[in-house]
Amino acid sequence: MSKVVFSPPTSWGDKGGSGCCGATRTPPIPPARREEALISLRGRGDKRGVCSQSVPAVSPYFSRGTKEGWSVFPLLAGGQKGGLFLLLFALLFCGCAPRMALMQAVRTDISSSQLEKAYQFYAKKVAKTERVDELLNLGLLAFEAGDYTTSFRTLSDAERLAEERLTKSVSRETAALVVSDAVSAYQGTVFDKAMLHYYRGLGFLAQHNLESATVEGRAIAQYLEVNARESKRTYKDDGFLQWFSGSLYDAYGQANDAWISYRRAREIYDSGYYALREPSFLCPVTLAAVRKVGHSESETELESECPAAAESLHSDWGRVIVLCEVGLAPPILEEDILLPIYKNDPHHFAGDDERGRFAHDLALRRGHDYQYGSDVTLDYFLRVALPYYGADYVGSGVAQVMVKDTTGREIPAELAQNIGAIFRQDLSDRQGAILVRAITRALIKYAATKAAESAGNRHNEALGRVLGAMVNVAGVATESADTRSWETLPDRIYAADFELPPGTHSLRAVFQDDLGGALFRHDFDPVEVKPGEIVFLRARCMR
Amino acid sequence: MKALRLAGIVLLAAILILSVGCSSRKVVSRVDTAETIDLSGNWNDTDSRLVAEEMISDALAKPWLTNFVGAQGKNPAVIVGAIRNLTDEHIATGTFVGDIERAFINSGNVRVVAKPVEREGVREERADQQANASPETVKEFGMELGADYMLIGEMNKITDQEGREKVAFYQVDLTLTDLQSNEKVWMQTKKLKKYIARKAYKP
Repeated sequence: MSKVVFSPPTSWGDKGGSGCCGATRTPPIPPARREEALISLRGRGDKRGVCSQSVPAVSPYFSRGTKEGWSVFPLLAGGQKGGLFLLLFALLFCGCAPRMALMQAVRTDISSSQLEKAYQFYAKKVAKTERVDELLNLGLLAFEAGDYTTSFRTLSDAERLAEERLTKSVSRETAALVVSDAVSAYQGTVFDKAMLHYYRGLGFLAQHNLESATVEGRAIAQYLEVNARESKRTYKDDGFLQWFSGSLYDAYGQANDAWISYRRAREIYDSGYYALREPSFLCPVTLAAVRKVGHSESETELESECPAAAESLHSDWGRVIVLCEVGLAPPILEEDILLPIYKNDPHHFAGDDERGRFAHDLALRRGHDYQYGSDVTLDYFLRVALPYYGADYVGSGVAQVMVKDTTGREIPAELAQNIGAIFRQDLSDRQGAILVRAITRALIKYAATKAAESAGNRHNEALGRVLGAMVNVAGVATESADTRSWETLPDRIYAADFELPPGTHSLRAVFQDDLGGALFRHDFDPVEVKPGEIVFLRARCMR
Repeated sequence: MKALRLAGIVLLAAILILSVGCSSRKVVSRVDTAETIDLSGNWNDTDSRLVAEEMISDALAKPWLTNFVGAQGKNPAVIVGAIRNLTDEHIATGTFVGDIERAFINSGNVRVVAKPVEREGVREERADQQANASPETVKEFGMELGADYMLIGEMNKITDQEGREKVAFYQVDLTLTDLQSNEKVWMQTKKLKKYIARKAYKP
């Protein structure tokens, strides 16, 4: 008795061949080995950077076999019809695979700190793009390369398009339900839309435009305020961005707004913000803001919470904020899962609601075992493509960051934002709905294939096979998970926030591994610290 | 037939979506600058124009101007200072400030002193004249017009949002302050309120 495990395996699947838009030829599988083949083909196929996939071998159409044997596309074997299908297949694939390969190349350049090269390459490839994910990626690459004008313009375009796409296109959504989630207009995640203000703010700070940077800080606060009220997902508010927003308010002289943002940041960290502890500098900066506002009750409360800071705050010193970004956020990968359809399952649906209910039931079969010879008989496997994050992905080798000054003083930068964790949680929040949608789509595609076959069979069997194969090829070729995301973001952000006496200071950020070895050093240009002012510094370590 | 239609939809949708995704067409047409076109709901040229109109008509009609002329026997000189943007939008305050400056100058009753950035360029030119201009045309240093009043202000915004509906309230406050005495001689406020609703679906 053989056994099929539907839960995702830990090993990587076949990555297929290479070369643009070339379909992998899956070797013919004899009928006798059908079950074994299906078993061996379960699991993940990482399609990043490759154009091929082993999907057709487990498509519903294929699983039913043909007289010609078990080739994936029996009609591709030769002749003009074969050429036509190959062309169709190639056309369908050319739209997405190069983009995945493109991001792979960009990530490679970024990982080796070739930011300018990555920027120029990507900018050339996605020129005039209207995809939100590409605009976000490009905006951050432009920022890293010091092209702040392009960065601002591009991130603003991304924000505008994301806003426009809140109004969903019925035609696109319908197409997404029938074809692929990747067809729907990507509008970015809530986190993306908050983070783009962070980078636009940093861009303005780099250009010494505090007023415009503070506008971005306000936009963060406004956006998060609405999201905290309305979001049904885990990411509702953002401790790191609230602190950053508060710091911009503070720098611009709006102590009351700064206090509100700092206070909110503390509440978020205290409520278990992606398992991060509240950074130790947050209480002192909140206290300093409260003192400026003159709210004695809160001041007393904060003095008891951070007594050491209460004694050591210097109103005649300046403040330095060091933002240390590390690594690259995890990319979304694609996995194929197989779900068993039994003989006694419904194969025809009266409407969308009935199909939807069945899709929900099917989703529950994920991760369950199917025993051959059990009381239910397998009819076919339903293959769906789902997005996921690799469990073994390491965003950065950096374990801690120290900020050093010329006197040898060391200030630890604390982990304040775990972007990788936010990404994973966000996908996890959406995964249930994605799975049901993918199953519904697969059912529609399967029904369409059978319908085409039946329609053709009324004239003759060969036509039935042709039509069935055409619809099957279209369905299989377009089935892909939505892997779009803001991939150029760092994996984590460490932050230090401390006071320094007025004067010129030279600071260095040292990015260390878990053994304390220096992976990367960044020497900042000497900074002029003035009483009551805030200096913002930022460095990124790609290792 | 219903089933066949379904099959057709899958095939055609796959091809059309992928081909349509690659095509985009931009339409550009000239429109009257006074025409109100609201796209995003953010601050736009119409808001700027409304603020300028309100401020100009009020500033030129209020007694600070006649009081100054009566007391000094000359037209007042005004300089435009900072207009602090306290909103969450990047707003080009220069547009309505420029309109106000233009209205002051064209009224013939108010003199306007160049802003610091503009003065830097003028001073560079004057310095250049010292070396290169003929003695009879060279302009002297230390003869600039000192402003009598400074126009300063700030823009605030209050946003209330729930779901796809949003109300944005803008307030622009401008103040004219006597540079000698710090006395505020003119203040005006322009308020704008917008309701922005976004559809859930489009065709």
